[in-house]
Amino acid sequence: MDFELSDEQRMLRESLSRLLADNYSFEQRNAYRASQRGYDAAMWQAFAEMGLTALNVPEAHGGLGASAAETFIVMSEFGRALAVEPFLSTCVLAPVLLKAASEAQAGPLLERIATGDAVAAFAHHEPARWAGEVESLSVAARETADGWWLNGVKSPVRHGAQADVLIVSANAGDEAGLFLVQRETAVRRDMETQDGMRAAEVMFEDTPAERLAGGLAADEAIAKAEAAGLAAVCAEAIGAMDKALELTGEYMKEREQFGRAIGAFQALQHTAADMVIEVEQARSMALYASMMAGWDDADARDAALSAAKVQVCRSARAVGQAAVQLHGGVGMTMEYAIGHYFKRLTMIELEFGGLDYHMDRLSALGGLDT
Amino acid sequence: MQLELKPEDEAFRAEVRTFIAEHLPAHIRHHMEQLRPPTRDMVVEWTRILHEKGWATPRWPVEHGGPGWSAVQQYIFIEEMQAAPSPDLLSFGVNMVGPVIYTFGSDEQKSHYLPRIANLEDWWCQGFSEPGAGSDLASLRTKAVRDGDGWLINGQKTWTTLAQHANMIFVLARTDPDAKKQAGISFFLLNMKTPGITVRPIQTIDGGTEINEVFFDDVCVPGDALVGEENKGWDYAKFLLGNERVGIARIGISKGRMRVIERLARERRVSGRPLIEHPRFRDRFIETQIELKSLEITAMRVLSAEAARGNTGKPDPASSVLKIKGSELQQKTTELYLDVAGEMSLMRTGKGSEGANDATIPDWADAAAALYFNARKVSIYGGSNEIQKNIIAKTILGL
Repeated sequence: MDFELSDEQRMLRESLSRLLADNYSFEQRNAYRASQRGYDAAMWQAFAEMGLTALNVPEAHGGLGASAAETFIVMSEFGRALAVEPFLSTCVLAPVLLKAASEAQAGPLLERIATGDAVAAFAHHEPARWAGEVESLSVAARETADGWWLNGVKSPVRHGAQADVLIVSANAGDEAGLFLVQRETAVRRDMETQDGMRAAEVMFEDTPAERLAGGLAADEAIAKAEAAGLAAVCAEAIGAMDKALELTGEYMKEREQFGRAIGAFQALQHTAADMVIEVEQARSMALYASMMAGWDDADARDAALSAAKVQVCRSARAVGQAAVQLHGGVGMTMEYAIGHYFKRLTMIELEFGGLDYHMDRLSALGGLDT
Repeated sequence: MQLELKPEDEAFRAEVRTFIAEHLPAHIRHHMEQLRPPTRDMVVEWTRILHEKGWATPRWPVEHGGPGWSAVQQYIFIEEMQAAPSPDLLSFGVNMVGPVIYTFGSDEQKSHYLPRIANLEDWWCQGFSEPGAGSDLASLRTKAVRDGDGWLINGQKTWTTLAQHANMIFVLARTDPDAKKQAGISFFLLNMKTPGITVRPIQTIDGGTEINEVFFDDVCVPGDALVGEENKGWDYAKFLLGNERVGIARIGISKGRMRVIERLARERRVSGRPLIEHPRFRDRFIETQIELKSLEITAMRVLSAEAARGNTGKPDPASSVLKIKGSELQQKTTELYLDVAGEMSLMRTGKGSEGANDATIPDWADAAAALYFNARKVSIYGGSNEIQKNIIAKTILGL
């Protein structure tokens, strides 16, 4: 293992970090998330020009075919900025899902993803269905002489209303399937999420769909997309925790009570030191998740990812709560950034399976090898 | 950033693991698997086996007889040793005073002491802490005054681990009472047989006597007992403590314990099924596995950063994170071990030691309680965890 960045990776991080420093202040982010679309089209274009949208697209389709490390770097930077663009669904999940589709189906869409021309969403979650339960999908796919048709509700679907295409998991008789749906054919109800992003409820009523994959290929693509998504939000959590810790440290140096900076008080110092420990432990496991997300051995991969998510959940909760506590009253306000980090970290805890789900899964897999 | 394991490191791990499996004497293995502290003879026997292989001084440079391993290889070696579990090398010699001697010592000190450390002919102990100087070590009061060509030492040290086995001790003593507290300290190498040195054992709450008080009453030592320059001892002590960068987490120890605990928790049946299948125990066990994995990767990251920037000789502030988390995990493993033993650990059977009775309780059961009590020390020594948090607040957060 080598945890140091290569020159290219350092350049990627620095140029993205510069772009975000110039264009993603707390106030700018507030404007982006309040806009009709819920994110900034110009930023999305800037990400595309930097090559971010092409990172996980194979070279054959105009992409960069980058490694897990690059996604880790980008997601961490997005976590620092609390970026609201649809990178995760379009550039992390969709390329993994499309691996299960034929070249003819996947190629044109991948090329549009690489250039930033298309936004994709993964419509997988359903009300009252937990992560990982592919066998209980309630959205039904039906085949007729004219093709495939979907019925049912997906919710929440990240950026479901903004996406040009939806990749939908569905129950196709006795197996799961993955289907492609064009934006205008489904009914979509756009909502703001707790953490300032967008997600939709998507209703399918005899909605025409193109079948991408079925059976084992669909199951595996879904499992790998969930693994990639889990690793990506863990990386995002690291960036968000790093920034929350920085903001908290700065605040502790500025804020004075009893005639001195509150950072001089040992009880508060130790709380902040505990945050450092949590972030470092989580960073290690987030890296581990990125390393393991692409593995074909499902048991080893799932055990590693569950372990990583448990650590990240615990750290995200501890760091988010302590950051608000150390900020005192202003930590409770929407006009201070720290509360927004706390909210995003809390939602990351829940995404791609929460702590209990992953403890259960890891336990069922027999724990980690010691 | 390359997030895959390097094949050469994996091969090295396999080589170390195989060597230990083939060469660790059976009686030592049996003793260590009870998670008991090794005896003096066991440490000496095992160290000499490793020395013959050239592995008894894993961190030393080649010119002083080290194997020339990378930081990652050193880490893997120590982790495998601890996880086996096999007796640790005597840290006071090989990791503490050894590097001080080859870095700051005279040629005579190097040629005399280094081979004796490597083959464990000298058993070293550490004379740092005093009754009034614990976390605030620089307030130490043991003093050394010039006496002809040599020195006269008076004072008292405490918490001196395994002083009862030692024939040598390295001592911090105040040589300039007028200088500010860190500036007037010197570093001495003393033979424990010197008249005026008295050792008094201290029994710890686990029932053992691994620590001692050491008294110095008009102890005459020759001039060549001084290491380096007079009044520079604090710098050498900081170097010595800073040398413990990732080793202080003792991850291998925790890994080795987790393996033993898992095996015992599968064997031990509670309410008709193995303990490992009981959800509350299993949760605690798996959570400890997760934290241990996190810490292991954190240690590798610290090593990777060090390899990239070169050894600056200064401790990485992340080593405080390793110390805190590493000590907490060592303690958690002892709690799990105690959970496995349950009421079986109630009686002090004395099994596993000489003259043990033949109680029907398994050999390891009373070791579990003793280990749990003993492990409370790890968050206290080496800079208490609260001191480590002060360091993190200051050096990482700038508070």
